[in-house]
This record gives sequence, structure tokens and C-alpha cells, in this order.
Amino acid sequence: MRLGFIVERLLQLIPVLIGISLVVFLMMTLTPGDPVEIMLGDQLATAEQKESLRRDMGLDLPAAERFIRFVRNSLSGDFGRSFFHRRPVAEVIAERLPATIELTIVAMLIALAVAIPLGVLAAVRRGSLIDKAATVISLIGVSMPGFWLGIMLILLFAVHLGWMPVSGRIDYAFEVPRITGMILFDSLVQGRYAAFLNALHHILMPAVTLGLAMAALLMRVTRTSMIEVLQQDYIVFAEAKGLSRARVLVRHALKNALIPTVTVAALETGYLLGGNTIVEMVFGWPGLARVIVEGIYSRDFPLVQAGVLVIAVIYVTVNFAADVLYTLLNPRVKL
Amino acid sequence: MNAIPALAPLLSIRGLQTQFQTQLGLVKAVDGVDIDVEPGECLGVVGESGSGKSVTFASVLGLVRPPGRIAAGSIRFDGRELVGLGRGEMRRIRGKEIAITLQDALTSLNPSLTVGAQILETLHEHDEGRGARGLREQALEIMALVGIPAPGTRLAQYPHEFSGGMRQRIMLAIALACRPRLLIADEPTSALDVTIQAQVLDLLASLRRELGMTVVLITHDLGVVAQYCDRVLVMYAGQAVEVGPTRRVIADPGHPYTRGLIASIPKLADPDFRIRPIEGNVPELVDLPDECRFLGRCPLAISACRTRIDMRDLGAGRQARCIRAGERQ
Amino acid sequence: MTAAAPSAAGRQDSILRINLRKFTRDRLAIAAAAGVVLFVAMALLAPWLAPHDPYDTDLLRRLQPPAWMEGGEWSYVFGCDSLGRDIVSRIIYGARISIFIGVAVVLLATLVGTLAGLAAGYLGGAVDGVISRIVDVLLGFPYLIFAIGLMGMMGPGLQNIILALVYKEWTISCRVVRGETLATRELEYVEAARAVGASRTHIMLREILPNIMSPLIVVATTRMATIIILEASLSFLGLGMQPPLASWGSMVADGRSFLSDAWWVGTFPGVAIFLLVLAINLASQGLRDAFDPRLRQ
Repeated sequence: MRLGFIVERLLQLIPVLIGISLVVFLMMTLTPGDPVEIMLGDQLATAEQKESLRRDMGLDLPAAERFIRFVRNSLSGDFGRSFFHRRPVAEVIAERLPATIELTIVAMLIALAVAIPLGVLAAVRRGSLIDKAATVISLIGVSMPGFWLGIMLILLFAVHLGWMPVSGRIDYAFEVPRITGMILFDSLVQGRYAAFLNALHHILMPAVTLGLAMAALLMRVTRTSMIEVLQQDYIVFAEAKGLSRARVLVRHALKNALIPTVTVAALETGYLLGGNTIVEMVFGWPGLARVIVEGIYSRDFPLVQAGVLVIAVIYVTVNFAADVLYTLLNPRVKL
Repeated sequence: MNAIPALAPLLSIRGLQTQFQTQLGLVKAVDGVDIDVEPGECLGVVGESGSGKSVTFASVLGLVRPPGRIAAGSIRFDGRELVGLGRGEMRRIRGKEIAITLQDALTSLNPSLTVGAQILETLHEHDEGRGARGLREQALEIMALVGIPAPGTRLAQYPHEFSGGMRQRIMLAIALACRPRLLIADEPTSALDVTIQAQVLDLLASLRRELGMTVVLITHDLGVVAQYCDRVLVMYAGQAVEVGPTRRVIADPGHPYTRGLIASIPKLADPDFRIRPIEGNVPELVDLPDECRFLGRCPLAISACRTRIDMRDLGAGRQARCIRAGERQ
Repeated sequence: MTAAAPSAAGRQDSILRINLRKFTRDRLAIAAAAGVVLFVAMALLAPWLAPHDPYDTDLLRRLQPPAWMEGGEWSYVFGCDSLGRDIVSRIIYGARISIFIGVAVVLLATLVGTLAGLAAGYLGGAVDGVISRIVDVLLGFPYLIFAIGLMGMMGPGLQNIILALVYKEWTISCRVVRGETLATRELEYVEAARAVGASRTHIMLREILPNIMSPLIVVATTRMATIIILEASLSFLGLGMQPPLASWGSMVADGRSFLSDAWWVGTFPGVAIFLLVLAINLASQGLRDAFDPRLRQ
């Protein structure tokens, strides 16, 4: 039954993924300008050279055939060559993606760490000053443009106070051999604690910037679902058993109240992935999102195309995983 | 009074006032209720929804939540005052001395914890080094006691995997896990099918005998009370309006509301019987004047009913809140 | 026929009025709505309100600090940017871009999304299949990434920003309308209209649409705040409005280069975005509380 459900959801994923590739393909195909000219840049080339380059890139083929080629190549990890970096796009992405994933994960953890206690507190002390303050703070959180918040943080903590580094993932003095490319993880498993702390220091401001609006959203979700759960009969019954307040709140209420929180967190991963573009630009974070934006500046279409595709696929996959996880974790959902 | 209790009451409620501050005003859900529950008896508490019967016993366990609060009165359990008791001390009474089961077992059991976990945590909470037996064995024993077959495998299941009657038994098992002296069963059967209702009530009756428990059975069904309870207390609009031994109250109700309740029970034996529901509605419990609360619906109302009416002793352990109680047959 | 299925519009009208009355009792929401009106007035009256020409460069005033700091002047309250342009005037003119784009995107997207959602929800079948698949695909893209990709393709400019955002934004109202339509289509008055032979267009636009206005309005106002942030983000990245136009996002981007010497260049435009978005969010939360009984406590 459950396996059947997973397979069914996986099958639903296929048309979405094809659709996404089509949109990405069209995005770049419909872009005005001749890719060959852009690729050659300032280099001089004869008409024959241009023609052969066009053939190499498959630009002489009909659009439908180019799309099939694009999908087939993408599946095998061949995204072509980056005009700007002058090497395979796949290489550039493999190099930059871990930084984006790392930042996204840390931002999400910070958001959850802030949102859950605050949301629970607001729900338990509903209508109190704490509740009202939490509501106002969360509205401020969602209303703050990320790029501006990032700049204000830099202004205060890096420029004026000098507590935080302005940009980058880690100081050059540290060397962390690459395992996953996520420095926090790599340094930790290799016991390089000084490097870990340095990387943590670097990731703090970008992650807070990225996670703030998410924290605000998740706090509201947690508060709402906690309020709903606290009104359930099983909470009254748990109290009637003589359990301690903390036990009732954590074991009986929070466990059920967190289901919507975790679901929303997973569904809104796309928000973090999108926000990465801004945060990576503001904090000079060498991630994939920044490469996409820079690719647009340099009209590096293969790179932009592949970057957008990879991020969309990650997003869709996370949503799929969240959907499956929600169903499996929740004993009430009957399949 | 010819039925003088041999022992002090196990639970003694005096002048209880439980109120809710709402947008409509102060709702006096329980307005000056006196109740004595004798050790070993089964007391039936009847009334329509909104009569205050559930709130009264939620007050006993301190389960009334803001905006509700106990505004006045005393609740003594085994001589000990429960009103104003500290949170920690109240916790030691809940589940251990006084247990409660709620109306709907489906919503009262936590959907995301196994049944075993929910029974065990009660045992664990009140475990004061009682015996060397494992808590799990105690859990199995209590499940067998409430008649759940194959308790070993069922411990690991979730509430939604049980039928309605089985869920009610599980809630009973949780309530009885620590062998409380007083069990408050709040509408234990109203969410169940008629056939299952009888099974659960019979189980409750046999458990009471077996464990020597005192039981308060809250219900809106006077028929259930007639069958299972030694005494009955009738509540109306936040007040107790009649109390007495079940047989006598049913044979000769002292309050017109009780009479109405009895008249509304369908009698299967009598083919010509037509259910006569009581006309009118329960008054809103806000800003009630000092007069009989049943006034608007009462067939016997006279102008003297427009004053404050207190409980009157009718003898033989009976009381009713009606000035005309003595004069009728 | 109008006599047989008359009441949908009238009924909804009264619900809307009741809801609006509830809204007016929420003092914070009213204050926020007044704030939004203030910003709109500022945008409309920009030429009369702005103390200076927002495009007038003056290298002698390059990075001139705000009035209360040393070297500041009261005629340039928030100081000047790197080209010596008055920041107050640029913020006032910037409101025009933010609000215009916010309104235009939400209106267009709501129009498209409502029609698509009505069609998908009411007609069902293949129409629903196609529309829902398109929505699924578009939802697979993180918003900002999608908009960045499109802006990269179409190039910067006002019209392109609006299009890039509408291309994805319509899916939001589409989903809301589709869901509400599914819930509404079997109700009695719709059945009644169908029974007397009302056309499908008539039923969708005259019977169903008026009844789903409340959630639609709530969603539209909430989305306005998001759109304004998105436009500012695109402009911040240099993919939105182009210089010398005064867009709040590009003003913040400009200020980023002078963070250590001239904090005011980037700070004040950001405050403007924040205040406008906060006001819209507060007002729309008030609307939601008033309109949606399920969310009320």
C-alpha cells in the first residue's frame, strides 16, 4: 500500500520534470541574440567557423529535436560548456552546488530553531504580551526584504562592530579537504574544529538573512497548529492522567503540532532556494544561485539553463520527499 | 433523613461556582453546586448538554482552562481540599486517586502515540516503586482486565487501528491503570452504537465491583442511570435540581424537569407511547435573575417561583430545587 | 432566467459588506491601510511632493550625508547618492515603480488566474488536466529563480518585470479559484442556474465568481506585498528597473557599494520597502481575519 503510494507519486513527478525541462529549454531558446556570437564574444571568426560551431552545438536542428537532445544530455549530466568559465557546466555546478545546499540547510535549521519555541510559547500563552510580540516580530520578519536585511547586518556587525566577516565561506588560512563540498560537514568529520568554527562564523549572517522570513512563516504555522492541538480532547485527557505540563506539551501536543510545521518547511524550500540568489550576491557566497545571476550578466546561457534546471529539480525532489515523509510519519493518514 | 451515610463522603463539593469570561459576559456554567459522592457508590449525573455536569467534574480535577475558572466553593476529596491545590499536588491526584474518561475515545487518545505508550506513561508517571513487576506487565494486565483480546500485539498499535468500542475500553484501561479510588466516566457511551453501549456499561459495572471503585457516571440518558446507578443527581442550567436514590427519583420525581426527562424516555413496552420532549430551551447562563431557572419551561410555574429557589429536603435522602415539590403526588 | 437565479450577486454583496465592517473594527489594520494609502498618495503626487528632481545629478553633493549629520543640509534630508541625487526625492519617485508594478502584476495575474481557475474548476476534464499540469510545472520553480531566468532572457525593463512575475504569479490565484470553484459548483443556486439553462459562461462569471470574491481579495492583497519585494529583489540584482530610474531595489544595490562611507544611500530606500510591505501585510492580515471565519479565533 505505502510502496504503491510512493510509486504513484514518483510517476506523477515525471510529467512535472518534463514540463520543467521544457520551460527551461524555451526560456533559453526564445532568448534574443545568437548564442554563437555571444560565445565567441570578442573573438574574430570566419563564417565557416561560426557555421561549424553552430553545428557542434546542434543549433541547426529543429527545436523539437534540440529539446530531446537537451533532455537526454541533461539526464547524462552533460550540460554543455560554460561560455564564461570555459569548462563543462557540470563541473561548475558540482563545485558550487554544495555551498548553496549548505547555506539552505543552515538557514532552515536556524528558522526551525527560532520558530518552534516561539510558536509554542505564543500558542501556550495565547493572547499574552509574548504572543502579541511574536506576531509583530513575525510580521516584521516577512516584511523585511532579504537583500536590505543582509546589507544592514553587514553594516552593523561587519563594518561597524567588526564582529563578523563581510563575505566568503571560510578564511583562506584554513584548508579543508573536500568530501561533500559542504565545509561545515567536511571540517567536522575530519576533526578540523578551528576550520569548522571559522566556517560557522562565516555562514551565520547569510543564514540568518536567508532564514528570517522562513522563521517568521514557520512561527505562525507552529502557533496556529499548536493552538489547534491544545484544544484537542487528547490534551485534556493527557492532563487528566496527571502528566507534567512539560510532558503534555512536548510529547502530546508538540509531536502532533509539528506535522504542519515540517510540511510547510519542506514545501517552502523553494523560497530559500530563490532567496539564495540574493543572499549569495550580498554575502559573496560562492554558491550555485550566485553563478546563475552572474551567468545572466555574462549571457552564459548553458550555465544559466543548467543552474535553473538543477535548482528546480532539487526543489521538486524535496517536495516529493516531504509529501512521502508526511504520509509515512502520520499514522492517521490512511492510504 | 433515614439513609445516614456510614462513612464520610469520598468526594464532597460545596457551593461550587465555575465561570467563563466570554464576549457575551460572565457565563456561570456551574452556579452553586453541592454534591456528595459516597465511597463505593455509583452516582449518576444527568442533564442536557450545557447543564454544567461535565464542567462540574472537570473542576474537580482542575481541568477547567482559562477563560474558565473556579470562582468559589470547595471540593474535598477524602477530606482534602482540592480547590487551590498546587499544580504538582493536583498532578499526583489526577490519574492516581481520581481518574476520568472522556466522551469520545477517538479524539481523547493521542493519534500519534501507540496505545501501549499512552497506558505506560500513566503508570510511569505515578510509579512510586510499586512492586517489582515491570510496567509493561501491568499494562498487559489492565488491558486484559478491560477485555481487550491479544493485549501483547495490540499494545504496539495506534488508536485508529481499533474499533469504537475497543477504543473506549482502552481509555478505560488508561483511566484504571493506577487503580484510582474514584472514576469519573463522562458520557462513556454516547459516541457508541447501542449494542456496544451495553457492553461498555456492563464492563464498567463489573470493574467497579471487582476493584471496589467509586464511580460518577455523567450521562444525558436517564435510562442508563436507572440501570447502573445507586443514586442520581439531576443538573439543570448550572445547578443541581434534584438528588436522591435512583429508584425513588424515577418512581416519583420531585422536580418538574426530572419529570420531563423521564417522560422523554422512549418505552419500548408501550406501543402507544409518544416521546414528549420538554418544550423550550435551556436559558443562556449569563445574567440570570434570582428565580427558578426552569421557569420558562415549567408547566407548574406560579408567581412564587420568581424568587431565589434553594434545594428542599424531601426526606429519604432526597432533595429537589422546587417550591412545589412537596405538594404534588 | 435572471429571475430564476438571481441572488448570488446580492448575497455576496451583503457578505462583503459585513466583512468590511468587521475589518473597520480592527484598529491596527485600519492604521496599516491608512499607511498604504499614504504611500499611494506619495506615488501619485510625486512631482509635487519631491523637493528636487530625482534624476538631477550634482557631483558636488556626491554622498552628501543626511541633514542631521555633519555636512548635511535640511533641503536634502536623507542626503544624496553617489551621483549627488536627492535620496528623499528618489524614494518618493521610487514609490511609483513599486506600487505600479505591485498593482499591475496582481491585477493581471488575478485576472488570468481567475479565468484559468474557473475554467479548470468548473469545466474539469481535459481543461482542468492541462491547466493543472501547467500550474504544477510552474510551481516547481523557486519564484525568484524563475523570475531571474526570465529577466535574463527578456532583458530588463518595466514591461518585462511585469510579464516575468505574471507568468508565475497567476498560478496562485488559479489554485485558490479552482479550489473554491470545486467547492461551489455543486451548491443549490448553481444547480438552479444550470437547471434553468444558464450558459456555462454565465454560471462561472455571474454565479460562482461573485461568491469567491472574499478569498480572492484576501489572497490578492497578501500577494501584493510579495510582488513588491520580488520587484525590489530583481532591481537589486540589476535585472529589473534600469538606472537612472529610481527603483528602491536598485537604490539599495547602489548603496551597497558605499556601505562603509555612506550608509544612508542604501538604508533609506530599504526602510521605504520595509514600511510599505509591512503596512500591506498588516492590512491584509486584518482583511484575512475579517473575511475568513475559519482563521478567526
